[in-house]
Amino acid sequence: MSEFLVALGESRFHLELSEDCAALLPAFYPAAQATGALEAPLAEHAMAIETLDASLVGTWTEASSGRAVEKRFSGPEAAMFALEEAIELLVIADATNNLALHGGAVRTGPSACLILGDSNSGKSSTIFQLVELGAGFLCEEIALCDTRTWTAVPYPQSLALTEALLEEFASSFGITGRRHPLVPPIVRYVPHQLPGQGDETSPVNRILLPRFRQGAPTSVSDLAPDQALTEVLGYSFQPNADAETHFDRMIALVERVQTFRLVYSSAAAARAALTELFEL
Amino acid sequence: MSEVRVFRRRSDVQIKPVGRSVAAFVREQKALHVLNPTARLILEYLDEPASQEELVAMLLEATDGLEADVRADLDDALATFLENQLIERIS
Repeated sequence: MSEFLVALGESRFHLELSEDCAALLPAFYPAAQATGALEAPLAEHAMAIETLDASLVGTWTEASSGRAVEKRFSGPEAAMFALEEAIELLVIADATNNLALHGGAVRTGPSACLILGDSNSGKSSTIFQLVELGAGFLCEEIALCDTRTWTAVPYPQSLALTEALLEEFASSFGITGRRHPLVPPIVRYVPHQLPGQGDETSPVNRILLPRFRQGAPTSVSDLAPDQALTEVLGYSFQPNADAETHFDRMIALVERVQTFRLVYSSAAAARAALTELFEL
Repeated sequence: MSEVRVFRRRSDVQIKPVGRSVAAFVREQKALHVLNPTARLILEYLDEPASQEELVAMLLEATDGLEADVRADLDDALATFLENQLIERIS
């Protein structure tokens, strides 16, 4: 068994992993470190995946019930995917000062842009393209925005992309990040530069809502705060705060940023639009 | 005689500005509704009780709509507001 520390948002996770799961950890949490002292006041969670009776057994706290659960897995990849999901739910449950949104974020210059959307909207590929174009990587899958400072909180998780997208991109432009093949056709992509925990204070000044639409002409449109609110609310996770506080925070967010919708039908079209929009 | 229907905004509904528009927060439902300009006019007017005819008159004055269209739109809006517990009928 190997021990690691992963700091994400307002949470820290002590992971105790079997060797085969530990070998996969860099493909999921590239910023995981060997365990060290925990810094208060972050919420702490202990999680373990160990080999028992020739199968893998995961033990951790379930966010929805607050109870310890034990789950059996057929292999290390299945165990790590389940661990990742459990971590995400705990990060969301711990988010008292942060808005937790479905998406990611990048840094361009001193500011951050949240990239939000449903599954298959193209947010991961948009983050990937921005990072490869030179934007700083901040987070993926869960975008945390600190409502005290309106800054994006680093959440250094790898990106899940398809082999086809990476191959297409690599053949045309080359790729600077690392690739970890997992279950085909998904590849985990780790940006070449990861954000440091606690030392990034990038104020959020933009939200980008990518939307892949087959055959559609490429367009970038500006959304008014009320238009943005309707959509962005749909990408916010159930808050660990009362509903009115959550809505007030969401309204404050869309009022202080510029929100853009990017419609595109190919990686090349998205790249051109992103280059222009972010002046990369 | 047709019956007089009077409505008012529910007491647990709060109007919150969002940019140049507004949203209605319904505390009991933990829901937020972003309002279009006409819905905003109606809901703000219903801060005080008002009959359907008073609402028609207000909308005709505030918009360039035809009376038949205004009545139809108002019927739809009131039904939606009632369904989402933004307003209540008081008579």
